[in-house]
Amino acid sequence: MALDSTDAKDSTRDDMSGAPRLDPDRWLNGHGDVLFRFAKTRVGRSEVAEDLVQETLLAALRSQQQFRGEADERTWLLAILKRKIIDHLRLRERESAFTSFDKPDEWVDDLFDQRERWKVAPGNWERGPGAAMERAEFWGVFSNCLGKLPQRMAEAFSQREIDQRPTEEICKELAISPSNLWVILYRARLRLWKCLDANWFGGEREQ
Amino acid sequence: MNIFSCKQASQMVSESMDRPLRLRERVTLRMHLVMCSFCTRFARQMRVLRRAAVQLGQATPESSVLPQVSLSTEARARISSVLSEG
Repeated sequence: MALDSTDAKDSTRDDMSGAPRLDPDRWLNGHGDVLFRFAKTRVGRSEVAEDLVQETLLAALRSQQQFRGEADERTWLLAILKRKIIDHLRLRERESAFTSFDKPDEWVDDLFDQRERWKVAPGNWERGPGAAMERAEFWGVFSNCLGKLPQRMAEAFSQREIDQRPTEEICKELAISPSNLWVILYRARLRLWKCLDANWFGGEREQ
Repeated sequence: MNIFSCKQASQMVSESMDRPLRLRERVTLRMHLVMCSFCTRFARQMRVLRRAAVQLGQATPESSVLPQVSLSTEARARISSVLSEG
């Protein structure tokens, strides 16, 4: 339920006393799952998404005086969550400054033979992509595949492809060079592609 | 003239989604794709992947396009107790 905005503007004194109508448990029940789904789509792993929901609600609780009901409550919470996701990306990268994107990726190498040709030729996606996107099951598969990506790849992919952010911005947040980002995205796309192929589009494989 | 291996071509297809390719890269990739139906297919499927991701990003938070998962009971209880402590 959205806050009644005329009510919220009525008395600033009410806000000072902690706006009793903003009930954190009601946020959790009313918006928790939606926040969780949004976060999960951006970070892949459930545990991380749960933590982000918790941080979001906690931050909301601490800054509830700033919420004056101008925006819809859910929109407000989502805005906080988006900031928390960016903070999380920055923090993670500082913690893991030296990770593996400059090492060869055996999983990717294994898709190709010694002459760098496809070991298994990319199959024809018989199940039309357009129709797939109208099916709820497809999105379940897509999310599962996203959730299987290594953490850093899932995050880079989400920022780039799901939120369509410019590469320069992502590089700055993750504190990596453009060429590193291109490599991470390549590896992420190949994994997602293979996962979708195996779990959705594959179907009948021509030999 | 080198016209890329399939591995190089797949990497160029991916990078072309993140940066403008140099003229030489673009020409070489095109030559590879003309001769290689597998990589042409791969390139098309990369565009499908992008389209799906964009659609997911543009979905409203309530949309069934988002994973239909819920907070676990444990997570819910943990968050609730953290919130009550403020």
